[in-house]
Amino acid sequence: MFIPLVALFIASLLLPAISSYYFNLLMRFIRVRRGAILVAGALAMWLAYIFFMLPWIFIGEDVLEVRLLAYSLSLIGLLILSYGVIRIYMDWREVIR
Amino acid sequence: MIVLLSFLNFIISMLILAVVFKIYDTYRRDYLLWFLVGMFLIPFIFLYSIIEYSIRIPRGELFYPITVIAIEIMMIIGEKKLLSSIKAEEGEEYKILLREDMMLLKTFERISNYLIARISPLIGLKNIEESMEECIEKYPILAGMYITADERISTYGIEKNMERIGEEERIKELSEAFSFFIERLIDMYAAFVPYEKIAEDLRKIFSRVDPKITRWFTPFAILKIVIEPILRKCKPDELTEIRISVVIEGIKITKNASIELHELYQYDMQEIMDKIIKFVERLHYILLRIFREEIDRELTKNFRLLPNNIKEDLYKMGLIKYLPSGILEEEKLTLMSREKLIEELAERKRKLEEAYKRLAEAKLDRMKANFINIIAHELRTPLTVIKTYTDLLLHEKMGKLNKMQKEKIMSIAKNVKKLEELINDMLHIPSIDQQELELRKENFYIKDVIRNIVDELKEMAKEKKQRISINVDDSMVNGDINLIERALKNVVSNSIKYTQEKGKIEIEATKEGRNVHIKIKDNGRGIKKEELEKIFEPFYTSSEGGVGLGLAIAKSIIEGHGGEIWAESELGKGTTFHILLRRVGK
Repeated sequence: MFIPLVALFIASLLLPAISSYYFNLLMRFIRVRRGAILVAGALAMWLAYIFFMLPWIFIGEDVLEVRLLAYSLSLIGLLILSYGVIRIYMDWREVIR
Repeated sequence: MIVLLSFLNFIISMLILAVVFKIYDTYRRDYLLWFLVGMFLIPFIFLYSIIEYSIRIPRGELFYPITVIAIEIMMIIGEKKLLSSIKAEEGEEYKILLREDMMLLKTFERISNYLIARISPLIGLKNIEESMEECIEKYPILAGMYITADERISTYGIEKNMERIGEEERIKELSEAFSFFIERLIDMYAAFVPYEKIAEDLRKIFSRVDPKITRWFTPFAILKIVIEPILRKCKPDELTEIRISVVIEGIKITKNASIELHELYQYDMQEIMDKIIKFVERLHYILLRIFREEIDRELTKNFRLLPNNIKEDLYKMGLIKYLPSGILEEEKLTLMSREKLIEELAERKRKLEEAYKRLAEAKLDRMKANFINIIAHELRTPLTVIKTYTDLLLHEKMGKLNKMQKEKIMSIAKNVKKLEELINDMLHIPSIDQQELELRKENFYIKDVIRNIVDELKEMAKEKKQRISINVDDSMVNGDINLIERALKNVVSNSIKYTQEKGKIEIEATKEGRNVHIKIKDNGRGIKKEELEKIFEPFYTSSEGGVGLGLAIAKSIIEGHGGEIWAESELGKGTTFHILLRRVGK
């Protein structure tokens, strides 16, 4: 189980790099001004995911405190993301009008 | 604690999903669908976590990374799709999402390409390239711009450079640099074709500029399309005078009568507009001497030819009042923002409907009056015949009648009299003939008239056991005594009619300035507020027995005498009729 877990973990860490590359390209063209908010939210989620996976990879066990930290981080990330998407929706609605 | 946190995360991720779904539902784009699917998977992570901790299912070692990878793939596909859609300038996204500076850059690119396509056959591409290099040397922001093999400029290099500069400053710099380049292109073009043709081309190009960035082209349009064609018609000495007299920082008039305005873009938009207004005002003063009244016509003509998006922008900036006075009201209408225009049209429609309604009512009133006149006159003739024969029969001039016959003939006579009174009433509705009235006017005491009326109506009030009290001073009135008596009688009888048994009617007449104020007050059932305005209209009645002419006649007579009549009422408490008539003497 260890090898597939590590392989998947590495893949899931690399994909955001590709995603951020396209995101940067997009930000050069479009006027979604909440870009920075989305990045901040996504970054918090990414960190949460790393903390969430680390105990399983390195010690094979759950560490309650680390899991709590991961969930807290993801909560912050999601809150930031929700603010970002709501603002984007409001901006777009204005533009469409 | 973990379950609680997972639950909170689950709720928030559902909220994000709902917002993304709302965005997708509003815009229905392919790339949004990918984002939506990606977001759809997030709540599952937390849901699994809750279940994992609550009922102890196997640990999701593989579930979590696989879900995360799936989410990331969806996001990447969504981003790629959005990017390719924008690059291909497809649909609304291009306009809705594109950054202002990018949109401006693309528009400048389009304008330049339009002009290059026309100039290159005349002067060759090499000259254009040289001019472009000069521009790049002067404005480094243009670095990276080049002319492709198909004789179009490419701004890809500028896009890259633009990331390093602040947004507003970048737009200003970009506008200044491109204005300089376009001015060069126009000058080259003007060496071969009449300027009218260039102005027409510019109008065409500017009409396609997106409203979001029109303001950056408005100064260019005013100076190059409205003003420059006039300057180019000036003689060299006139031009020299203008060049010496009209000096505004940022705007330069060259020896070839061309206006250079690229330096204006160093200022804020408001400053730019202030400078343009000042420039136009000073220029207008001199041009008025050169072209006389012709100048206003020329300015108006050029202004009218401006594309609508530019005109709308001018209106938004409040500049319309500084523009030539010859612009018609309708022209201004087209410049209003859509919301304002809708408001204006709604207002006009409302006014029009009101006018139609008034017209229809006036027509109807006229028709009603004519109809009444005709009917009344037509009824009168046969009624006179009936009345004559009834009188003859009643007085037994045509033979003796038995008791029953006499009774029936008396009934006919009574009803004929009623009918005659009704016809007379109908004939009185049309307004009083002033000339005729003047001949019949006399001075009389109002108390005499009121007493006569009360004497006449005493019986009517007695039947209902009503009490009539009079408190009238010795005011004297000038008018047709019969008509005034008729008017007051109508009002008093109306009060008697609509007051219940054992009710009270008070008649008061007091001096009030130059008028005598007559109040007829009852304690009857009162009149509803919405009916108060209608009671003086002909044929308006609240009882089934009445015809509804009494008060209309009273109003017609009182107003014919220059007086006023109105009513005040409180439901259940009674009504007071007020009559004002011009008084005679001290």
